[in-house]
Amino acid sequence: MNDLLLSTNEVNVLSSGGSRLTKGAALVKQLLPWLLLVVTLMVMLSWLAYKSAGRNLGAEHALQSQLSELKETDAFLDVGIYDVRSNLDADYDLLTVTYEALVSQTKAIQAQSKAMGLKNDSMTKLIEQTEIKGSLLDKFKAGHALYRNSLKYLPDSVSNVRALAVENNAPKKVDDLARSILALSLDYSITGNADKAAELRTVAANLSSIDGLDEELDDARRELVAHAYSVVFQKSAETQQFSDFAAIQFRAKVNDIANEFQQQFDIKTRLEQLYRQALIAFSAVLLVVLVFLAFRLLQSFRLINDANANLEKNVAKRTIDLNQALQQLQTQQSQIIQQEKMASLGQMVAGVAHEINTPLGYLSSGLQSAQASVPLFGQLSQAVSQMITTLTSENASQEDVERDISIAHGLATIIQEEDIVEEIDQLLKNGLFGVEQISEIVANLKDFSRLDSKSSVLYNTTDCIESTLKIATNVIKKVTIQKRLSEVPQSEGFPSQINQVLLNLITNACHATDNRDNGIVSITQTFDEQAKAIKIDIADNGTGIPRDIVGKIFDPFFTTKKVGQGTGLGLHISRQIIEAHKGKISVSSIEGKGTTFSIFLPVV
Amino acid sequence: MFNTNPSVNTKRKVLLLDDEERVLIALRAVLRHQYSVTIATEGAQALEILKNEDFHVFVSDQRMPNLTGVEVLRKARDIAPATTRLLLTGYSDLAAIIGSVNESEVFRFINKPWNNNELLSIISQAADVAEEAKTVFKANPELMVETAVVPVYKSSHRQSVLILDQDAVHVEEVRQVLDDVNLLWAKTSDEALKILSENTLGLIIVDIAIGGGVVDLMKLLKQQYPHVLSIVTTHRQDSTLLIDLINQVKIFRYLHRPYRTGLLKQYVGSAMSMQHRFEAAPALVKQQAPQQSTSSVTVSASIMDKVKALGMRLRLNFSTA
Repeated sequence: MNDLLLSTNEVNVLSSGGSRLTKGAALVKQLLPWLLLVVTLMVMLSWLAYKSAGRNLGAEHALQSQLSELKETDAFLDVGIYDVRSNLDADYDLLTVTYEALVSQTKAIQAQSKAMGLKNDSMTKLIEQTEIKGSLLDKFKAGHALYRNSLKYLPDSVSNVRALAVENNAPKKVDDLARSILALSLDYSITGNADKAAELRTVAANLSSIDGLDEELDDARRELVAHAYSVVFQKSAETQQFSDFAAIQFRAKVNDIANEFQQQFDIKTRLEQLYRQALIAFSAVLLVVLVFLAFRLLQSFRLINDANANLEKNVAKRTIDLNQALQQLQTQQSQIIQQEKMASLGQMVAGVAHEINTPLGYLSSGLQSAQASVPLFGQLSQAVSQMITTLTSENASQEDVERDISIAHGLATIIQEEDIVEEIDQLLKNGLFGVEQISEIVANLKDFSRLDSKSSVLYNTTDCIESTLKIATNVIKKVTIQKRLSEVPQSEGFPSQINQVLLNLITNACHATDNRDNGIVSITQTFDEQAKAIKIDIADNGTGIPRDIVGKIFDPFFTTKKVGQGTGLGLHISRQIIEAHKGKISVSSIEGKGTTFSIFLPVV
Repeated sequence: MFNTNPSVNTKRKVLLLDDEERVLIALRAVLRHQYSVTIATEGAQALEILKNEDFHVFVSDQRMPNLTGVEVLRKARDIAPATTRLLLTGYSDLAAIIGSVNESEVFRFINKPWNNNELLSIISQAADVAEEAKTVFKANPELMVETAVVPVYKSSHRQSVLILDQDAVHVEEVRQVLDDVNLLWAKTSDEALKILSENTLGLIIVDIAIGGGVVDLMKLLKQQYPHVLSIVTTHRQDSTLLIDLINQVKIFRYLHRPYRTGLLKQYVGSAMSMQHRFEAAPALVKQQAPQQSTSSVTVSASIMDKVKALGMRLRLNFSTA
């Protein structure tokens, strides 16, 4: 019967979180902020690393050397100009090339610096300066050409004027002035002395103011004066240009730019350094945090290990406790089930005891009564034989004969008048009937209990029903039983248990009709071909079961009887038995009308 | 059996009720020579007969389809209080037994199967008691009314009641309930005897669980002084013992602990009422006659002496009570 013990593992499946999917989602939700934090830290770290990475210094160096080159070019330009100034045969081309180089270099530097993201206003200004330089240069070139030209032709022009002067007998002044112009021009062109320039101008003015000259001489004089003025003009213009050139201070500007760039580079470097420092600090902090976490982790590992070590111990202890509790529960359970069996057994015994004691009663009494009358028959038989002896004797007196006849007759009369024979006959007949009754009850008991072995046997539910009805005779007394039992195939199982169920249901049905005068309990048995199952319905026309209770009646310990009158386990155990036989038990009830219990037993 | 054969006119009347006819036939075979026997198979039928005829004895089975024996006998007590009631049964469930004591005041319990001679002896005794009762009720019809439901009897003086119990809490509860009674407390049989020897009382409340031969003492007491009524209160539930108590101690009432205190008050009231009737008609005490058991009551000689010595105190002497 162990398989019928109530399952102690009616496990409640934890449903917090529901399916795995929602569990995963919940986990993610929990971890999300941490995840975000880690990602942010990583991003910051990489950004710092990126920022602090060494940049391409090559480009910067290149730029600086480009600027140096520019300075050189500019110096070269100056030299070129100086060269051109001092050397009347110097080549302008070099100057031009140099200038173009200057321009292109400057532009290149601008482009490069722009590409490198440097501040560029100064470069733009520088380019303006190169343009200014360019225009100055053009002016210079143009002026210088004139100047050179004038200077070149001045001696000839002077000679011309002097020759003509002689020819035309011009005043000596002309000759002196012409010679003076030449000397002063040469002087001025070499020294560039401003006084000389003024002198030359004066001389040229003087020469120019001389009247009455020959036309040819006049032209020659004008030409000479023009050359002289040109020399002066150009030279001073050149000087101006030169100082303008110098004023541009190109190289200083380039230096400034170089410094500026360098500053910017330095800032970048500083920034890099800062970022590097920040990175280091950040890394240090992270490291500390990591170390801290690692430490905590280690700690928790240690705790876990300790807990693990203890866990086994605790689990073992807990298991022992639980096992004990389980055993206790199981013991109690089996005790209660035993009590229930005893209670139902007790009920059965009550009925059966009465069933047996009643026939025993009249059987025993009848035999006693019959035995009590044996002496009477003994006396009668004696009296009759005495009478016959007397009658057939030759010695007997009439007195004797009459006496003996009288005795015999008296006895016979008593027997007849008191209907003793009939009574004894009746009593003994009843007694024999009683014996049969008792035998039947004993046989029913055997059938009913069917002290089976542990393994299941083949049985027929029809026999079970009949057997149970016999056992329950006492309970059924007032009730009308309607049987409708179709033939069914054999089943396999434990018929004593099935009997227990049937007894429970039939008893309940009979009790339900207690208040009715025409209590009817109908038992119907059919075989469902399709489902290959036996269906047994036990229906009563009793008080019915209220709707709010009907769902609970199979619950353990549920009873509507008073305390002490039933453990409330009957139906629960009945259901367990039926389910152990792979069957089903159900109930339908209408309050006030009646109840039907249906058993569904599959035939394997 | 056939020697004493009274004439039909003087044969005393016995009514038998059992749903199994064969039992009735057997009983009749035993009784018909000495008694005028009437049989019935239905409770309602029997009660009708009882209403119309006088019977000395009424024997009923317990387990029957419609009314149970106890129910029938209870009604019979109201219909014919002088008729002695006997319960015959094949299986005595506790509820029936208690009912037979508390509600229907059954004279004796008879088990199936029975011994014919014993049965005859019981019926004879029962019939005697009935005759006495009949005489009393004829003279004092008012005594027929059983005031068990709400006892009206109020004594002119405080009655003394002995309680034989080892549970102090319970005794205190009883004291609270029986506030107009002089409650005397004994924890053992010896103490009880002492109290009995010093006081005049007609009611004892006993917890038979105290053991120590208290049941034997009670049997003895009842034999000697049948007018002393006893109410048993106990946790124990033993149907055999209970039948014994009914038959041999003739306990007046039985209370299974825990019980409603109101019920005790009611029973004590009934006992007082019964005492009153004894006072008015001492012959009624015969209804209290216990069965003399074949197995002798085993008490020590000293106790026997003590009990006998109570004589003067406990003899019916209501004028000084």
